[in-house]
Amino acid sequence: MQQKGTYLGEFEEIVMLTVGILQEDAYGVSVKKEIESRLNRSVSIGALHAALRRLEGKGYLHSQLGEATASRGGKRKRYFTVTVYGYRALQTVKNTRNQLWADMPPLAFDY
Amino acid sequence: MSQSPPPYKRPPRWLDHILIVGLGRDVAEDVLGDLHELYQERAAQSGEWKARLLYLGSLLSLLRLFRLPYSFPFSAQIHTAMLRHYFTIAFRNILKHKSVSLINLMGLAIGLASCLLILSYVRHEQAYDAFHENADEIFRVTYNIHMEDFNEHIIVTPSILAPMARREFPEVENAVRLFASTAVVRQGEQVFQEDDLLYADSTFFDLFSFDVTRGNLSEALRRPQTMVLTASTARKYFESENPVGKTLLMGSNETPYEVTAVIKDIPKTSHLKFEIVVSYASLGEWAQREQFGSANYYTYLQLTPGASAVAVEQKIAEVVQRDAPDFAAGISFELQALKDIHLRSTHLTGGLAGSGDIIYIYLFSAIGLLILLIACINYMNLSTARSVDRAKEVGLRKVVGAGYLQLFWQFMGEAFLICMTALGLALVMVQLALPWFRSLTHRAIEVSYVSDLGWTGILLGTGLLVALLAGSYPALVLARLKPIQVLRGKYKNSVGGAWLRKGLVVFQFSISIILIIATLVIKQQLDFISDKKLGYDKEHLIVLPVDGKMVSKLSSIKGALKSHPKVFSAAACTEVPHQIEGGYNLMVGWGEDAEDKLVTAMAIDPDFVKTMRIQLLEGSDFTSREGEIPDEGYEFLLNEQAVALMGWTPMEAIGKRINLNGRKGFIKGVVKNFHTASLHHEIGPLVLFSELTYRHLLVRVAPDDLKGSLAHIESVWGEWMAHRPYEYSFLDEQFAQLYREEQQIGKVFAIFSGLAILIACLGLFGLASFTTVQRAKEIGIRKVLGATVPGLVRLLSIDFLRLVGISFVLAGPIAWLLMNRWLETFIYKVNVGVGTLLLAGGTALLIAWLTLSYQAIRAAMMDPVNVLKDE
Repeated sequence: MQQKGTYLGEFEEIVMLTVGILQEDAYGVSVKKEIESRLNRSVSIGALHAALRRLEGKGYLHSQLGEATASRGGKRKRYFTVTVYGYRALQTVKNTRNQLWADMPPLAFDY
Repeated sequence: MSQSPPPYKRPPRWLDHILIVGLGRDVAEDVLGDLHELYQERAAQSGEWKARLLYLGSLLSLLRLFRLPYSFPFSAQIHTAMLRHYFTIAFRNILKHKSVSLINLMGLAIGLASCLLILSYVRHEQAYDAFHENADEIFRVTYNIHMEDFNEHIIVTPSILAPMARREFPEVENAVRLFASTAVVRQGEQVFQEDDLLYADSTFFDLFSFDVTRGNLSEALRRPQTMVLTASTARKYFESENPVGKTLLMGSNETPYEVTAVIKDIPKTSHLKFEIVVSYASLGEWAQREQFGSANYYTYLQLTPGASAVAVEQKIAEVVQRDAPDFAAGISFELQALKDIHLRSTHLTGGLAGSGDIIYIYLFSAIGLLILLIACINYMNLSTARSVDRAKEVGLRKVVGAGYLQLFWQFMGEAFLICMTALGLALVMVQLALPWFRSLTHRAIEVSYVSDLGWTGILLGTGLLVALLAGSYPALVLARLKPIQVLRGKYKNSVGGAWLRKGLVVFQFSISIILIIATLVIKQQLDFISDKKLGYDKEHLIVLPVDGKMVSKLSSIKGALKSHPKVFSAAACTEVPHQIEGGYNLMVGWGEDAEDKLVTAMAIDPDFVKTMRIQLLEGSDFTSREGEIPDEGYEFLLNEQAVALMGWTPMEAIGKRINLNGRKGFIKGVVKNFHTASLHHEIGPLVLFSELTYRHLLVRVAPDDLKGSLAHIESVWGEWMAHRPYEYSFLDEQFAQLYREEQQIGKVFAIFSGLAILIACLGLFGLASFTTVQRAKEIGIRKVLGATVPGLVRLLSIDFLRLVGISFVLAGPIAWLLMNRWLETFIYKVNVGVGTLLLAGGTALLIAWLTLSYQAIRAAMMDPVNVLKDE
């Protein structure tokens, strides 16, 4: 059961899944590139970071700062990872979706 | 990056800054990093301009999407945790150096308390007469006489002024005349001498706002023989009965006056002081007649809002010129705002002037600020001296990531903590000291924290100001420390810092020395005043009141008094000799070539000169018996000044005919000048004549057995003058009253210079303890090499003593200038001697040395082993 306030938007879900895919390497730019290449849609860095922060605020992601690199002008990267809680939230969403799919009669696809 | 790292292309800084500003410093780093990375790639792909465009786009998208929600979870946490930490650190620091912290605290508390007391005084003085509703539109008319031989600015005016103003000028909404007087008042068995009697026009209560408790104020003073009492006066005569409608008997004729109203006791902050207001209509024809001569009345005008006082002054001048052109020469009338009366009337003479002086307000404010400054300087000095201790802490903090502002506010926070505690202490001190302060300043100063929000505001404001002032310098110094300097090795106090500290010490001691010099000079002048020869013998002279009933029996009374062996002589006069103010017109010659001069004059009886022991230079005393006017006319005695005024020598003057306000007569004798006013004024021309308008009886008694003499006088009183309550006073006491202001000032200066020195020494003590700690190793080595204790003490103190010496050199001339200025207000004065200056400097030096010696001796006596064993 999803509690109130733990609603996971479509974009947020995608971001979380991508973070999960990238494992150790999930930070702003890499997540953006991954989503763009996989889904063939452009991602605004602003929206991405907003989503990442919001997810972290909800407790679904954990972040920590890494080392600085020259190409970033000496600024450190923030690496994100999915928390157990976040993983459970993703599961819930997946289950809900599966339920809905399962309850759909085969007739729905007959045109 | 897939390629070899291309040269790093930096996006423009200003774009970054927008982001930082928009999102907060902690947040932006990784986001910025991402943006920079993207910038690199885009720049490589599509060129710099495209990259910048996209950068801007990303930036905007971020700004739009990000707001506080993100930073919130981080920042709030940081703040509360850190605050607790800072608190703990501050506390620990205070406890670690208990003595220094205590010194700081006490210094600040004393400084704050003094400042607050002075502020309360200033506030009290500024608020005089503000309780009247029409306060901003009320003006007092003053009479400025600037003729060649007579220059006075007095507050009594002719009787015509008020009615004329109301008649002729539309700007004048209301005008009242006041006449101050005294009388004996009786109700049944209660008889009292009322000294605060005021006769006032019927619109008095429309102009001034006094709260009524019984009766109707607008009708209260319409009819003659009516009066209004203050609540305590009503209680005195009628206890708890309603006095309205009842009568009181007043004066030697015991005329009945009807009480028409009762008002609440007048507020302390009123320059008008009275217990009974009698209707002006009760005064005789001499007061009702509108004339330009005889200025005996106070005139107050209420102007319409927005009317110009200057314009009214002009109009008055025009009317005077029109109606009395001869009178108008050399005189003018000026309007003085009601709220200025209390503090700005020192240039005026003649009675209900104003008992305060704006100069003293400025003075005390300056002293208060100076003392506060000294206390702040103390804090600054001690804190920066201690920067060595805290340098390591600062260095470490910077290493683990504290920012400059963060550190600054940490130290400011500590300053705030100490200041607020000091403020609390100061408040307690103020409450304790308030009763004593009230008696010191002779003012009923009230301090309330609840109902007087302005005062509470001032309080907090002062505390904050002090915290900011005192705390900012050390906070700046400490926050600026470079960690590398600190952690590498010994951190020495900067040379610049040391100079500043020395400068501050000099400043502190200069102020203290100036205050000491001021105290000494004031005391000298006061001593001079009380010892100065006045031209008459003021010692052992008793003053008794006299009224019409007694005048006829005067010779019998005097005889009865003199029957006692210790009573030498008695004489009656109109005014007490040290305050003769009656202004009279002296005319010489007759008709066309009559010369007109303004003099002071009063009536005396034939025994006056003898009783007062005034020296008669030429001629002889009165011969006529009281009340009789010899055929040749009045007999006059002039003083040297009056004679000189006429252009005669004392010899020539005898026998000359003169006319004093209508009294024609001749000069019988010339007396030596004697002081008729305070030593602020020059001795003016004086004319003495004989007339039965006596109000005082002076009795000279022997210095021994005063008790016996007084008892005798009382019995005589009981016999002859029982209708009046028995009152007496000593002339020299009354005389001392003239200088009450100055005595007060003297006391205040003494106290505050003591405080200033105390605070300065506290600071010195603290500083000394730190320098001895810093020089501990040096001292140890010196001891090992054979230095003696006295030698070391000298070595350690000499620096500071030199500073005190410099302070003296600076303070001396300044104090000399200031005190000379003050002394100029006296015509007869002492000089500011070099001896006085040296005494002050020496005292400061001595006190400083005592303070230092404790530290120095302790340091010099310590065992070098303790210091050197670590080497």
